Amino acid sequence: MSQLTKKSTPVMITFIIGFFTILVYFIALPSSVTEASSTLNGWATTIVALAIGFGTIVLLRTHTMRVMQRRKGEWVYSIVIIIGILIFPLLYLTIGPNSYLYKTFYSTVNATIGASIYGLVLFTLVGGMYRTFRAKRLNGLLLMISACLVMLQIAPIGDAIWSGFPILGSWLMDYPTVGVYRGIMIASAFGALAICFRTLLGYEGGHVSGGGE
Amino acid sequence: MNLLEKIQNIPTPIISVVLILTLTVPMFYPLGLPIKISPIVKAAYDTIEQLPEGSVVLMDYGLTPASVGETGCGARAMVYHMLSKGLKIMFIGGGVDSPQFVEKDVPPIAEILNKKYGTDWVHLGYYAGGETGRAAILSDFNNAYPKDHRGNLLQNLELMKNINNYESIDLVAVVTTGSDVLPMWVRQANTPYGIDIVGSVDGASFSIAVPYFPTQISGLLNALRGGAEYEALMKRPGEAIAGMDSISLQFLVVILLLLITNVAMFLDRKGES
Amino acid sequence: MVIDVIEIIKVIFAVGILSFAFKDNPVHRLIESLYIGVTAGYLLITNFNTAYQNAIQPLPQNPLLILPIILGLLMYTRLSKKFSYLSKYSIAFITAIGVGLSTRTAIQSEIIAPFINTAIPLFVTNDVLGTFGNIIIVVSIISTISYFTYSFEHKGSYKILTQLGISLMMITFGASAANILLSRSARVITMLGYIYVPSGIYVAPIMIVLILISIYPEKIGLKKN
Repeated sequence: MSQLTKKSTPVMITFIIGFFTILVYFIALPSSVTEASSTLNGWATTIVALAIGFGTIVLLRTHTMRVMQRRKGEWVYSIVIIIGILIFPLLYLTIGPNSYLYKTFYSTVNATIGASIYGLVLFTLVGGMYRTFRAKRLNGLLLMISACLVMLQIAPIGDAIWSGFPILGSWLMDYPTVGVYRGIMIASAFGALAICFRTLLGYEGGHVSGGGE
Repeated sequence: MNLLEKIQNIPTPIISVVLILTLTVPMFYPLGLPIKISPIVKAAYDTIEQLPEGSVVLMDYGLTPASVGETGCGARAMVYHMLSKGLKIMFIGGGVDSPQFVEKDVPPIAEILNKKYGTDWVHLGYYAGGETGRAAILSDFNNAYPKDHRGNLLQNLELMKNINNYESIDLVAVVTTGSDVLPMWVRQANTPYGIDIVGSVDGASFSIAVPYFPTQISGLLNALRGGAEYEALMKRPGEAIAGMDSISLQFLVVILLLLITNVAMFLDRKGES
Repeated sequence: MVIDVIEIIKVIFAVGILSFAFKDNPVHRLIESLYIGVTAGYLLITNFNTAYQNAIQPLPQNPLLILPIILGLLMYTRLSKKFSYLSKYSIAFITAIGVGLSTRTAIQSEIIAPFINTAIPLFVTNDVLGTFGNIIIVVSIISTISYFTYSFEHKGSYKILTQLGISLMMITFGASAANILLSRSARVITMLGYIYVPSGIYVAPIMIVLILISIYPEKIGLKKN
């Protein structure tokens, strides 16, 4: 019974609902059946919406424990995280999401810090390019030349220096890049299909492993 | 450490200062370089231009705080183009941040063009679920969105009165920085229902999305460069065209840095041998 | 007055985050922690609102909606060791729908369509670059797929094909690196846009001094070496 409830039933749910979703697309079925499939899609959206909050709850729990344990060098940051987590729900429940304060808080805090944090990657990226784009071998040379030509195609200054740079850069984007990424797309699609069918047939149990096995 | 070795081992903070300076200088002293239009951006422009007035566009306005600088300009230019052509737009958002950016960007554009909420455009709001959510929206709008983002019932909005599912949609416009979002729309909108797709994506996703052009995606904007080209096509220069000056100087400096480093490496090796 | 305060706060955040490009420091960590918290809280409340509007509010008219609500709440049983197996039902449901939806059109959109798009004329009249390009596309696809096929050992003439694939991939990744650089540069332009404002002239230097103090407190006698 334990094995049935803990492992077999979730695998059966995956099998039945997964193949039902696929069959509805390929076989002309009565409209009531296709509507049932749409309904299930809608339910999945609701489940995901409720489930996303789980990550936040775990974050809250982890950092609350750090504060209670007074972990050296970390507990102050944990307090800031906890306060941060509580701000938006409080604002939402008190003044609502369409209020000026809510929107201003979002644009001042989330938008500003978010834009800045993701901008930091540039410095690491250029540092990495500087250290890796060394023409020690043929492949390194190709990597560097390709990057430089496409940079000169993207930046208007490339066209100002020589009109051939945009042509060469565009050629690299239109031909080798398309060919290689198509090859990667096809190869990864085969791999993904294999994994998908293994998941639906129950051979890949990763999504139902863990949690009280 | 001799000069050649120093050139090959420049500390990252110094590179960071140089990068900040190269991006900053054109902000105060613009170069004013002309922007050439690429075929892929022109194709996106033509796809929207060829739609008759009254056509319905589903726009996945997936802006985030991180991406607003790179894809936001192209997104706003596309919205302006679509509204000025009399197209009807339904805004949805795959990310939690999307609604904030729709409410920030679209009302000023609609006001300039005298477009009314509920008749010319609606904001349906955020939907959870990724690909599942997109499939749910396309199969039944009223089921996916009982109300719009502003709390109106969909049946009370004039634009939504005759729209039930994918059959009413003429174009899907996608603004995103996720490399898997455009393929999701291809799988859920273009492959089963044959709906045209145009997109404004970040640089990392652009290379991955290019193979889909032109059969599965009708046109694509590449981050800030695509936004600048679209602004040039619309003859409404904005932040994207201004930003390309900074990009020009920065790319030139990065290329010079790579060339100097490689020359130093060769000279160093030659000296050793 | 209110607008100036918001501008000042944005300068503080932008300079604080930018300082990480030079050295990790407590100011950056504080701002980063705040961002982690507000993002998680915003994510929580926005998704709960979506679930409320889509399932909880229409529940009286459609009682079946209790099923997705229960399945969604079952995810939280992972917090309990005894009942965490119940979360597998939710995960199984979401996985089934997601896998089903992506699989059913993947064959057409990501296998058949690329092959069809690659059925192009190898020789284009009066266009040397185009001819060479079309040949490169076909060779790229074959060599890339060969590289990722591990059913055969990569040796002999097959190895030449895979090595060619690697070289073409290097060209592609160089092109991708250039596009990624464009993308990340645009983000820094946005960040600098928050700093280069009237308030930034006096707030940014103050922030820089505070950050330097937090990185090197021993230099001004706040902390012994």
